[in-house]
Amino acid sequence: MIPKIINGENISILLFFIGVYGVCARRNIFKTIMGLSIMQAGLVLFFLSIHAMEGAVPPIGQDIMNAAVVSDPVPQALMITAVVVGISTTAVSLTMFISLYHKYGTTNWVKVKKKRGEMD
Amino acid sequence: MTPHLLMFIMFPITIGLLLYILKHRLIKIIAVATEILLFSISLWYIINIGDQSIMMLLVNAPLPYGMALRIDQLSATMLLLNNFLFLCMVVYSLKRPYMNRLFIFLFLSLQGMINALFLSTDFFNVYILIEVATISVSILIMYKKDSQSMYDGMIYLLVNMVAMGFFLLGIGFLYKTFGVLDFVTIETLIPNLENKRVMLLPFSLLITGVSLKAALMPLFSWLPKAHGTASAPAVVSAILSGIFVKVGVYLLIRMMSIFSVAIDLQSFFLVLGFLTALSGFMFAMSQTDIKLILAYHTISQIGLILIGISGMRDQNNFGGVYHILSHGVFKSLFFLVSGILVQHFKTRKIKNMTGLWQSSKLVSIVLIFAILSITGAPFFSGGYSKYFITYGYDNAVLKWLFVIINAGTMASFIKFFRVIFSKPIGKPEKLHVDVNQKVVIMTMAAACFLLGFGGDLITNTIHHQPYTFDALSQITKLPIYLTTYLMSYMVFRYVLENSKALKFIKSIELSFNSINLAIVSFFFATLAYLTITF
Repeated sequence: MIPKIINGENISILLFFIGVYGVCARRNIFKTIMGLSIMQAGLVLFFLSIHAMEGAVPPIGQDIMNAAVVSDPVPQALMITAVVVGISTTAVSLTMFISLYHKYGTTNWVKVKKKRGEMD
Repeated sequence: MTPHLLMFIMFPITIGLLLYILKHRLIKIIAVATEILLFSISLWYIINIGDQSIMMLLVNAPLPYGMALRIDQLSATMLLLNNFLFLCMVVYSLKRPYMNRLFIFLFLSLQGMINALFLSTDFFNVYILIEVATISVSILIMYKKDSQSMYDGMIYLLVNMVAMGFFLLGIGFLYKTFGVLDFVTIETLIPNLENKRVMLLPFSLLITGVSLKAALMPLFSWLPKAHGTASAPAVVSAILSGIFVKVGVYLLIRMMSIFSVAIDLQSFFLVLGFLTALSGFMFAMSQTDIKLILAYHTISQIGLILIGISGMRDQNNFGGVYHILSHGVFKSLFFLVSGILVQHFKTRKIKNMTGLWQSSKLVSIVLIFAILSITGAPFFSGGYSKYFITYGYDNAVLKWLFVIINAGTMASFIKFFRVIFSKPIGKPEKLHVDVNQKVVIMTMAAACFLLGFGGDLITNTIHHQPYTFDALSQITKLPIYLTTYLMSYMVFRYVLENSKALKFIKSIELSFNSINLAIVSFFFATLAYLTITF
C-alpha cells in the first residue's frame, strides 16, 4: 500500500507545496528564492513522472526496435527548457537580491519594506 | 501574398540583437523603420483577416506533433495595438538619454515576445514566453536604478514566478490527461472526455497563473509597484499598462473559449470583475503620486474589461475587447504625459503640479483628451466601449454599480483637472516638448478621439460586427455624463477628499508573503467554487 503512495507524482506535488509554503511563510528573502527553486524541482519531477512506465527505454538509439515500451520524449524536452528558464530566473533574482542587500542591509522582506518607506 | 507570421516574432528580436552587436550610427533610425514595418504588417492583417483564422505550421508536421502560429480577429486586434504602441514609444524616446543599445535590445525583444504570445497556440510556449518576458520586464522596470527599484523589481519577478509555477503545474495535469499541449487539439478533445471533472484541477491552476498576470481582485498588489515605479522610464510604464497586462486578459479569453464546453466560470468572473473595478478606483483615489494613480487605475479598467468579456451578450464581449484597445491607447498616453509632467515639475506629487494650462496649451489639451476618454465621455474611445460593456443590463443593482464605477473613475481624475486649471505657483515656466514627442502624443490623442467618434466604422468594417453606437446617439449620453461628473465632484470634494477612509486605504500595502498567500487562497477558492458548482 505505502509504496504505491510514494511515487513520483505524489512526491512532486508534495515538493511543490513545500516550496509554496516557503514563499508564503518565510520572511527571509534568500529562503523565498530557495522555496521557488524547490517549486521548480517539484515541477520537473512531476512532468518526468506523469507518463513514466516500468521498463521503458529512452527514446533514442538502437534499443527502440526491440523494446516493448518507449518512454515519452515530450516531457523530457519540455523540462530541459523549463530547467534552463528556471536557472536563469533564479540567477536574476539572486543578482537582484545581492544589490537589494547592499542597499538596505537586511534579508527580511518586512524590514526592507519598512526601510523603503522611510527612505522615500 | 500573406506575410509570414514568424516575422512578428523574429524581426524585432533579430534587429534588436543586431543593433546591440553592431553599434551602428543609424541605430535609432533602423529601430523606427522596423517598427513602421511591423505596424504596417499588423494593419494589413487586421484589414484582411475578416472572420477567418490563418494557421501557419512552423515544423513540417501536423498539429499535435509540430508547432504552429495562428492569427484570428482577436489576436490581430491585439497585434495591431501592440505594434502601434511600440511604434509610438520608440519614436517618443528617440532623444531621451536612456535610449541606448541595451534599452533598444530589451525593448524590441519584449515586443517580439508579446507578439509571440498573441500568436502562440501552445500552452508550454505561452509559459516560456511569459517567463522570458517577465525577466526582461523586470530589468526594464529597474532601468534607472533608483532607490525603490530593487524592491519593486524583485517583488514583480518573484511573485510572477510563483504564479507561473502554478501555471506550469496546470500544464502538467493537462498533459497527463490529454497527452497534447496545443490549444486546437485540446479544444477538440474536451467534449470526448468521459469524466469532465478531471478538468477542474488543471483549469483552476491555469486560471490562477493567468489571473495574476491580468491583475484580478486579490492578486493585483504587484501591479502598482511594477507599473508605478519611479525607476522605469515613462515608455516602459506605458507598455506595461498599455499592452503587457492585457496578455493576461487575452489568455483569459482564450482559455475561457477553449474550456467553455466543460467549464463555465462566467458569473464567477463577472463578480470578480466588479470587485476589481471597485477596489481599483478606491485605491486610485487615495494616492497622491501621479504614476501610482495611473497604475491603480489600470486595475480598475481591467475590472471593466473583465466584466465585458464575461458578460452574457455578444455586445458585452465585443465591448470588452474594444475596451482593451481603447484602454491601451489612452493609458499609454497618460503615462507619457505623466513622464513629461514629472520631468517639468521635478516632482511626482500631483498636488505640487500646478498651472499646466499656462505652461503648455498642447500638453493640456492632450491630457484633457485622455481624461475624457478614460471617464467615458461621448465621442471618445472609453465612452464607446463602456456603452457596449454596460449594454443590456436590466438589473437595478448592476446598473447602479456601473454608475458608481464610472463616478469613481471621474472622481479620481479630478486631481488631473486641477493640474491643468489651478493657478500656477510662481511664474509659469514654458514647458518644452521635443517635436517627436509632440507628434506621438498628438497621434495618440487623435486615436482616442477616432476610436470613439469613428467607432462604428471600425466596428462594422474591421470587426464585421453589426452593432452601432453612432455620433447622434452618443450626444444623448452627454447630459448623463455631465450629471455624473458633477455628482462625483461634489462627493469627492465634500465627503471623500480628506476622509480617514482614504488614508486607511492608502496605508494598505501587502508584503511579499501576503501576496503569495493571496495567490494560494485564490487557487483554492477557484477550485472550491468549481467543485461545488460543477
